[in-house]
Amino acid sequence: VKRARFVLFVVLLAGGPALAASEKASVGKRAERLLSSWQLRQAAELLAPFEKQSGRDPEVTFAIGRLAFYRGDYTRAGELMDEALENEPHRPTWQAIRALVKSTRDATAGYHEARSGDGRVVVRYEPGKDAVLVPFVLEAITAAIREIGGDLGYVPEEPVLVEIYPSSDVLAKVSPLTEKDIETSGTIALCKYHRLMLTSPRALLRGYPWLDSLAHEFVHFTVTKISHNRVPIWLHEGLAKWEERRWRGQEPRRLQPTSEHLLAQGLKRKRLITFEQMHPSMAKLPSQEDAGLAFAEVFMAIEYVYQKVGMRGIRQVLRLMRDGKSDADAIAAVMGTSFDAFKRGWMGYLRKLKLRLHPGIVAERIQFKKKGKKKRDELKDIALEHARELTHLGELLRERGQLRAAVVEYRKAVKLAKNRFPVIQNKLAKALLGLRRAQEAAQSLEPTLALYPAYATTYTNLGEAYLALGDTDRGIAAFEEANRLNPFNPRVHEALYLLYGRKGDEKHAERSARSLRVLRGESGDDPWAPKATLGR
Amino acid sequence: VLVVAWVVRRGILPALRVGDEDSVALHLERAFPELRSRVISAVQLRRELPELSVLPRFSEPLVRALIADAASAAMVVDPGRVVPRGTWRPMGLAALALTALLVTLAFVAPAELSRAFANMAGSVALLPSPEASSEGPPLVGDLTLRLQYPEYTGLAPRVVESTSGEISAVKGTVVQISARALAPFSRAELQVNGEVSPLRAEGNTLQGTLTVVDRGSYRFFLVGEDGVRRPASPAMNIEVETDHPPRVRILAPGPEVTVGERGSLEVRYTADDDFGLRDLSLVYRAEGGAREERVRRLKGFDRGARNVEGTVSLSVFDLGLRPGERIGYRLRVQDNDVVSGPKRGESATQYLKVYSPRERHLELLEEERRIWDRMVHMLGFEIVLGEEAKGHGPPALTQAELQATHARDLASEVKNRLSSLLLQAREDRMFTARSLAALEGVRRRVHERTSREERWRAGTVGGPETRLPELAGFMPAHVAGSESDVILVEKLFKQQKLEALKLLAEELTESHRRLKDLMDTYRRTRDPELKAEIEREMARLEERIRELRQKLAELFDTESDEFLNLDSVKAEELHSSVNKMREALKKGDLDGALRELERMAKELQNTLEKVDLSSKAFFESAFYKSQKQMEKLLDEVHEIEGQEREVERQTRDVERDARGRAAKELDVARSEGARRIQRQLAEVQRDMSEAASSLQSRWNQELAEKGRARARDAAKALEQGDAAEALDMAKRANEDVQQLKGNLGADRPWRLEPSGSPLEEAREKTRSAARSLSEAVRDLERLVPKASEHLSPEERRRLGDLGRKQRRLKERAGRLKRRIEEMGEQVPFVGEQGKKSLEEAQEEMGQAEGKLGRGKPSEAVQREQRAAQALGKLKAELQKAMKPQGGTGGTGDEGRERPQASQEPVKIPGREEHRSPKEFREDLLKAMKQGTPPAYRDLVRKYYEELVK
Repeated sequence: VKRARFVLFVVLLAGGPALAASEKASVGKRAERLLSSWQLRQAAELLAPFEKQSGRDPEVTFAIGRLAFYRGDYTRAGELMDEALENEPHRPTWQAIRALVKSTRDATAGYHEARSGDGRVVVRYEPGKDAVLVPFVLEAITAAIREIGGDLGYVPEEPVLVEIYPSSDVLAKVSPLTEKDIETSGTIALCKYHRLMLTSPRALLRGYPWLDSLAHEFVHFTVTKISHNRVPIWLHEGLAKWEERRWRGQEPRRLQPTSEHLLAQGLKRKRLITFEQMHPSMAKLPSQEDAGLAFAEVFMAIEYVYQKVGMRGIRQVLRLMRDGKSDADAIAAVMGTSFDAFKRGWMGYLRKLKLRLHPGIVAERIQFKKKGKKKRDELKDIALEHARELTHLGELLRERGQLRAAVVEYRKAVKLAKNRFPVIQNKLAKALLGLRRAQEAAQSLEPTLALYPAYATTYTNLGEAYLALGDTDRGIAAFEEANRLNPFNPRVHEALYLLYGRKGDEKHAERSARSLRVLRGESGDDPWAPKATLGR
Repeated sequence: VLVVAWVVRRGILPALRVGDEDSVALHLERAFPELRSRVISAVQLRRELPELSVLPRFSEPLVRALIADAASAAMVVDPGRVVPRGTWRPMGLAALALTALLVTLAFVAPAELSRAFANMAGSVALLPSPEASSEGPPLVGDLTLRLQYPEYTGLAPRVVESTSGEISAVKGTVVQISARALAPFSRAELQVNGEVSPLRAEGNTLQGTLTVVDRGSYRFFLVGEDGVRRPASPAMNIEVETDHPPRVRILAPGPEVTVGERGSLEVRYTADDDFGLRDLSLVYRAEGGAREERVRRLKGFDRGARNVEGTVSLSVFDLGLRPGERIGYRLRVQDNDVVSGPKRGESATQYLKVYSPRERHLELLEEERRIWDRMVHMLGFEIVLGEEAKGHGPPALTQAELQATHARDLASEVKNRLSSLLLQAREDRMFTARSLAALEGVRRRVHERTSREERWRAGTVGGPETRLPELAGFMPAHVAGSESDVILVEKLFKQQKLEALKLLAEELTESHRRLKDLMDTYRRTRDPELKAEIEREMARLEERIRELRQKLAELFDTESDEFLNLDSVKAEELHSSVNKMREALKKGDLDGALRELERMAKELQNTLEKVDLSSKAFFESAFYKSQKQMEKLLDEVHEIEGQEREVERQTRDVERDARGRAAKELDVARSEGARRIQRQLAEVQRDMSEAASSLQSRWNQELAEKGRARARDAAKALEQGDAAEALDMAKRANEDVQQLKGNLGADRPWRLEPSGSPLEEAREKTRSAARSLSEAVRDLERLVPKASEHLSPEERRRLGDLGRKQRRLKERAGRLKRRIEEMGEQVPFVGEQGKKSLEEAQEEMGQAEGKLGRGKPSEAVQREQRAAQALGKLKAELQKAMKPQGGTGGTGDEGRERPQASQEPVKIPGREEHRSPKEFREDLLKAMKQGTPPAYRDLVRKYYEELVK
């Protein structure tokens, strides 16, 4: 017995600390796992006892740092990670994360922060013109939480953090993407590290549906949270694409004409992007056209699932995946068929839809502004040489005040190019507005919307035409849409201020006036009361 | 003055004192002591009497008694003893004498008197010397001055006798003074501006010297035998005459003039100075950058030159100026003043611009852009006119007519400006043949369109119901044409802009090369002059880089992807290289500067390549369709030419066979005719040889020599029995001789030079050679066997086939020509020359067809040959136009060949030459009245009109 007691003593003496260390290490690893699946609340609860403990295990310290990073406290995250790396310097993964945190901290230093009234959305942005985006972001994400969260069955436990970057190179600094990736794939927003990241529309030549993109990223956020980050890219992107306009209200989910064309073309040529090819990111596909096709495919895949099992089925798929099932098993389980059968069914569904080709349609490419180039030749997009020349002649005449002649030239170009190049109709509309022929201007623009619903200039000119015609509601609708594409055009806010005023809507008129003041640099300090300034 | 002073002092002043009672009383008391002060007491106590009644200090009766006593005592004295007789007499006499003298002088010599007064007043004012005013009359006389002027003035020495002593001379003049002393003296002195120097004395003649330096005075002093120093003359003025600075003025050229890169400028000037000019210099400074002012001595003047008009030649090369540089220059003259130092005078600043073909080219391009802008406006009017044509009724017609008027006015402006531009562009070697062809085409089409519109506008027959549809019928085509032309000129202009950028890059490279040469030489010699030149070259390089940056910025501001590959042109780096080089040079680090220069060379090469590639890429993209059309045209021309040559080859075969047979029948070389022709050809050779030796002009000498050589070749061919070859050579020799005849005026019936003069001799020989050659050609034509007379039936049939083939080729050429015309602006680079070539080919083919049909193979061959040559010319033009460079500075481009600009200096007529042009005009006017051969009447009239203008 004595001997046994001695052995137990020795074991306790030698193994006690080892057991304790093993306990701590497992906390670190568990916290890491929770953080990887974005279960921040659970990770925080696990790490709380260690928060103020000295001589922590580096794993735990690093996990606390990572938690701070996910919550947007980059300075603290950096300090904690440094501390962990001091103890365990040879951890390349930690070093890489540490570099990213530092880079994020530096890139966002001096940013302002604004919160929604209910505190569920936090927006960070570079002081200056980007402040104009803030109320719209808060409004859109609040609506997205309500609508998309409602659809997918998720209510955020912590505030949703949104960061707006002034240019694509900043996005490259705070994400794993390179500038080349961003340029090639036209990535303008990301959902990563438990936050939504958005490139400001002012970094682009013609704007883009930036609020839809933000809602798109919010879908990713929701899906990751629900599934504990276990959803493959095709399902992720499919749901995001399918749900991205839901924040606007009960609009029918429709494939955009350019996507429809790409998909129809892909089907015809029997050249589709496989689910495997979409991995690990759509942004890594070789071109914007490929990315467009992939999005169209997955949009229709979700539409197919929805048609078969409804929203309840989609929620079920996510839950099953959260519980450890693969995408194939979850789909098979919910749809009551094999994954291959699902794919075949989906293909059959696509063929039945009789998707239309839109010959000559130009895929709307994301085009970033380039340094050193002051003026872009927008007529370059007109692929028909003679139509391009006629439009150019129209421009030359318009610049010289010969509006009547310019209209003739634009009309000739329209006759040749039909509705394929909205730039022509927009120029025609401008000349017609100059001649006070607003009705004709509106008529020339409306047909282009079917093919190019995201062409910002069309909405601006259409708004001008309605404004001139005294059609307040349609004017507001057009300018609001223009704002959702390019909020940096002061004329849009000016016209909205006028139109809301005409309508007696003081609240929106005031919002437009404030936007205008921000864009004109007249607001002095930020008009949307920053709560705090980071890194200062 | 002395007399007057004496009178005043001795007479008048004492007299003035008599009014004082006390003085008189005292005088009496002094003269008559026996009065015992009674008179003075009485005088003084009498003044107290009125007061004694009020304040009785004394006894009044006693005072009255004293007065009575004094009066009684005074009554007995002799007044003659109080005022002695004769006291006033000498003084009165003296005053009278002086007055009389002055009155006399006033009548006899009023000028001298007044000068004397003036001198007296002046000297008193200038030098208020106590001696001058207190001393007596001058003690020196017969003053003589000998003035020795400074050498630079060129003035002869001057002697002034019996002078008042005033000296007025330029600074540095040495004055020898001599005077005669009028009073005895022991020594004499001369005081000049306060400084005293002794005078030499020979008897009573005094001599001394002074040098005029400053304004002031001088005077003589005599020291008497009593040792007293007395002023011997009044102070006499010394005045320094001013030596004015020289003046220079540029008479010609005008305020701004442009000179060629290797040219020079004759500057006509006039300069003057009061004493003499020394040298003339040019002061100039190039504009831009921190260029320093430079001075270059141009010439020295002859000794004593005071008034010069002349010309100096400024060589652009010698001044180290480069094309495009503008300098402000002025002339500077210096006088020969060695006393105070040379003074300078300068002309107003004028400007000299060194002609830069590139800048001139850019100006033309800018004008092209402005014309293009007007074309856009014109297009607007035409479009609206086309729209009005679609209307109905009289108001629409009125609107259309109004619009047509606007379009016509604008078209007229466009046409005129295009013509003017083309005229200048033909003189610009940087303007490509292709651009010229394109602009010519535009002008022609604008003219055609507006002529049609104008005919419609001027037409008044019919109402709106007929006239508007007529307009609507042709306007769509007009608008389409106008649209294409606007697009074409815009593309052309952009292409030219890129080509001009390339020229700039080449200039940069050239400037870099010069800089490298200079630095290499500097490394060897360390010549400070070279260092300054290096600095100037760097400044030039910097200016070019600045221009390059500006031009690139303009491109990026307005253009798009076609210039994208120019993004990588690093103009900033070029600029920083110059700065680094400058820094290195400042520190004396020549190796560092050279390393930077080497780095720059690579960047420049890169720039040049990028610009070149850009230009080519733009051309290929902008004119892609035209290029494709041109390729098709070229293929067709090539094919037609090939077939034409084949027809020619086959015709030649037929001719050779037939002629061979004919030659066998006749031994040409031994015939009588051949011997005669040999004699004629020998005469031609002799005449031409003699004419060549009499001629001065090298051009004419060569022509004569050519004629002689061809006559010799003809003779040789004949000797070998080849009459056809001999005929060909003789004809060619005849062409040379006829040309020479024309050049020398030998075809005129009248004689221009005296008989026996070398020129007249040459004319005579040329006339003689021409006669002999004409005969030889005529005889040879008879001698040459006629192939046509020896054709076999088979050969006739073959010729018939060839004739039909020729007709088909002619028709094809005709179709091609029509197609080119229809394509218009689609093939903008087919110029008028190309169309003419095609017309010529067509004409020759027609002729050949006729000759073949009539069985004349020899003549047909010639026509076929010419047709093929014309097609070859068209082909070459097309090939050239298709190259991206468009034939810039190329050779063999007939439309662009032009003589080099004369490098001889331009003579600017001087002032004295102004009559010549007038006389010349008169001569011309007279000549116009003289008779002119009828055939030349119009040409000569126009010629004279131009000259007179």
